[in-house]
Amino acid sequence: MAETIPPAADAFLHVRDLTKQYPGSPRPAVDRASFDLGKGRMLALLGSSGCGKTTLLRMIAGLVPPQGGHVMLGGRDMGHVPLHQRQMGMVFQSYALFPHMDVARNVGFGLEMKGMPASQRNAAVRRMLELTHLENLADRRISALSGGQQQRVALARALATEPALLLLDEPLANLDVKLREAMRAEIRALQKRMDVTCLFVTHDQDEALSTADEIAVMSEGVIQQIGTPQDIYERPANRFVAGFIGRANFLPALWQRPGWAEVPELGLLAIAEHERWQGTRTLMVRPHAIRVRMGGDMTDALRACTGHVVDLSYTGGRYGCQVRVGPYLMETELEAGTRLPIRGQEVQLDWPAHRTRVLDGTP
Amino acid sequence: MTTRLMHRMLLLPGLVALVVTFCLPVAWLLHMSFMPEPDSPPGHAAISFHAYAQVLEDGFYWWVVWQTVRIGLVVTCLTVPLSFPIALFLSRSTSPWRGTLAALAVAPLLTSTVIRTYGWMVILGRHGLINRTLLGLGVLSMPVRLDNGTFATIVALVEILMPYAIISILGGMGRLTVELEQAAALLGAPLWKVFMRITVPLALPGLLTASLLVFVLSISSLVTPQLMGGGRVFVLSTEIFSQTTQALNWPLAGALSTLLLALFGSVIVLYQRAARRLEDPA
Amino acid sequence: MNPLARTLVWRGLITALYVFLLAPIIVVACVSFDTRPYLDFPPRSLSLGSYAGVVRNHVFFEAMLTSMLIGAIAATCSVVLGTMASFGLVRGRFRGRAVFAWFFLSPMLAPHIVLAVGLMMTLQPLGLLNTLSGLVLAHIGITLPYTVRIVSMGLSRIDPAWEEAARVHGASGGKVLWHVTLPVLRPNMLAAGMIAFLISFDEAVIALFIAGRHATTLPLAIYEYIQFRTDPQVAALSVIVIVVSLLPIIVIERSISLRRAVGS
Repeated sequence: MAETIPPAADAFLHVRDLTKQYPGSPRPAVDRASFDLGKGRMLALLGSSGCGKTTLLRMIAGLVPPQGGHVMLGGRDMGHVPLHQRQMGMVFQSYALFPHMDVARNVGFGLEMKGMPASQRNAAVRRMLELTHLENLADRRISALSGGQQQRVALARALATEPALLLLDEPLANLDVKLREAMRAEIRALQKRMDVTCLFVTHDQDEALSTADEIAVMSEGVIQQIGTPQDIYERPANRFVAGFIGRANFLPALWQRPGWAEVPELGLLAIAEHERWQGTRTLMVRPHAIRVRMGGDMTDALRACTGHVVDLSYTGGRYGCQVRVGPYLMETELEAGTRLPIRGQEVQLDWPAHRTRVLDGTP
Repeated sequence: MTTRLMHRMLLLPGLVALVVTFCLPVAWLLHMSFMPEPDSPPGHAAISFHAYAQVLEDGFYWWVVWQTVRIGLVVTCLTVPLSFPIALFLSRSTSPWRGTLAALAVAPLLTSTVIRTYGWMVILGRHGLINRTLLGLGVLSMPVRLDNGTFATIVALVEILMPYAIISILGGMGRLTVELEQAAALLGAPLWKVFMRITVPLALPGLLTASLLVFVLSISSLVTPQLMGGGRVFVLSTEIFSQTTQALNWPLAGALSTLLLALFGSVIVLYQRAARRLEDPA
Repeated sequence: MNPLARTLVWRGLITALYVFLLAPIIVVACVSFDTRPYLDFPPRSLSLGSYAGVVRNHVFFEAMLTSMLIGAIAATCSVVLGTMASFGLVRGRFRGRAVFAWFFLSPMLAPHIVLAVGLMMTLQPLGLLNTLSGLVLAHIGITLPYTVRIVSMGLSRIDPAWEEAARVHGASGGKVLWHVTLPVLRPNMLAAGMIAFLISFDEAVIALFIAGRHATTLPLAIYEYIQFRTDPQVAALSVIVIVVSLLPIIVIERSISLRRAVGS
């Protein structure tokens, strides 16, 4: 990204311009990735598969040598620190638990490598097993554990050394939906309790939104936006982020005058933007921001667009309602229990100006 | 890069061992087959085709090669069909004993050929199991000679080579699922048709590999024809053995070994062609 | 045919084939308990006399020790060399790797009789004919393809993430090898060693050519004995050999399964 984030004074992890291009690949897997993360914070690297998020994580871990850029952890440049001395903990997507060791030895592996005496180590392992509710499984073999239990063991192993940085590579991808939600909360609680700085890779936006303090959205090797979940959702930096996170409606728009934009074949829409722009840009509005009204009260006619209901589908607790407005198909949401329109019925849509976001580029 | 060099260095000790115990002996054997006759004066000729000429001119060696191939073919034609039912049984058995039965079918492979040949000597011997039984039942009035000959050699070789065939057939049976057979049966195919049209074609790669392995192992076997043949079975391996250890005609032994290697090579080439055609019938 | 009859015929066929397959071993076991000095079947009375005879037989006893010694040394060397080569073949990224892999497995295809003649001609000028070292060397050669194959099989199944996890959690290169890679590989190395031992322990053809009075292996001793005499003593010896072979077979079955160890 051209505008690098200013280095924050309290940042614990500095990542600057990390770049990796695999031989034979036309574009870099990761292109000048930069960000800062405060101590005890949790950052989610969010993107679809192949966007470079795992490569970025592995470069920070030291598993993949970067071609450029650097990583600083707690003020220390990691560039020349050998992998095994970086003091990180990592949970792999496949968990990568050692099949020839029992649960306790897996958890104690990092401490054993550090040369911690057995008695001290056993106490530390026991504490970790208690924290992850694995007390009763200490001498089980890995193959005798369920997916969720393996997940916990991997987490306990990564945290046992009290690492400076915890890395999670799609830690929940192999679990079923119910378990995933429970583990999400558990990881979050454990991370806060141990006050460990954490970086996790995921392709699941719900996971990122609900778990992380900050989210970095990646696409084609580039970090598109970094911010809090609210920032990312409400104020996406560009068309990609807006489309990637949650559902959104996009409309092409021309500058009309301060506070107003013109949508071709629809008319004027109020916006919060006052600066002039050239050519066509994109207006984004989230479905849940749109109010759907039935029956001709047209007092606010300038901001309302009139359309017809195309489809109505129940999505648990609410309805998704597609409305055709001129040439555009708008996604809206209706609470269950409110009066519902029927297919083909005429409805009016409106939303407050500040819920419209103006983005670069055409839809 | 250093790791690349290290990986190559790791191969080195094994390569040296193989060169010494495999390449060098084979090369030396080829070299020896071009040596002049053992009793000819030393330093006479650097290279001689005498041994090969002897093999080609003497009708006896042609007969020996024919014997070798014939026994190999008979053994193959008996071993593979006898192994197929066991492989089929093992591939679809759901019994808790399946593991044990599979191990039992394979384990003889790891017990000495000498001992198993000895077992057949006991069974087929003059006072052996079969003669005793037949005499006891009154079928025979005098013991028949079942041992010492081609018949005994073939019986013992079939049994000794069955585990190899079973493993090869099992290995090639990956695609052969019970569902396919059931589907064919549901479509109305009678049992024998299911067997001929579904089971056998799907098992064919495994059957082919098994045939190659059994043939190749039987034409190079020495202990069994030597012990079961009682000096009356002449195949390439027994001839090589006697030329090496008794006649001490090493050039001739070398030439016969080269002949056996050539036989090996051509069978393997034939197998590869057949396997390729099986994979890609077009 | 009704289904019941079909099942019975099928079961009968399988049983008969198993009986045929195991017949020589069963017969040898029965004969070994016979008391008469000549070979006959079935045994008329049972005793352990032949076993006592085997224990008192110096030739057999020494051959047994020789075979075990050769087997142990050859298997150990074969596993060490095979494991090193496997690391090179599986982990290496150099040109010609496929050719090397093929080369390491090729002796599996070579007929033992030809190898035996070649080895005899090679070892003779080196003065290794009729020596333990010669036999050990020959047995390393014939077992190496098996150990390379079995260890490579295990190595290529190692999840790279295991080693990465070890490194991230503080293990240096050597410690990764010692605490993770080799222990994970242990069942395969064990099975490879056992297979190598069994191949060496049962090998007769090469021994026929390169062994002799100073270095007689057990299969050779049995071979020479039964050429001239067939009394129950050799049956008792055979049973002992089978029992000795059983332990490695069980170890192999437990570690990576027999079929995978010897299969194609």
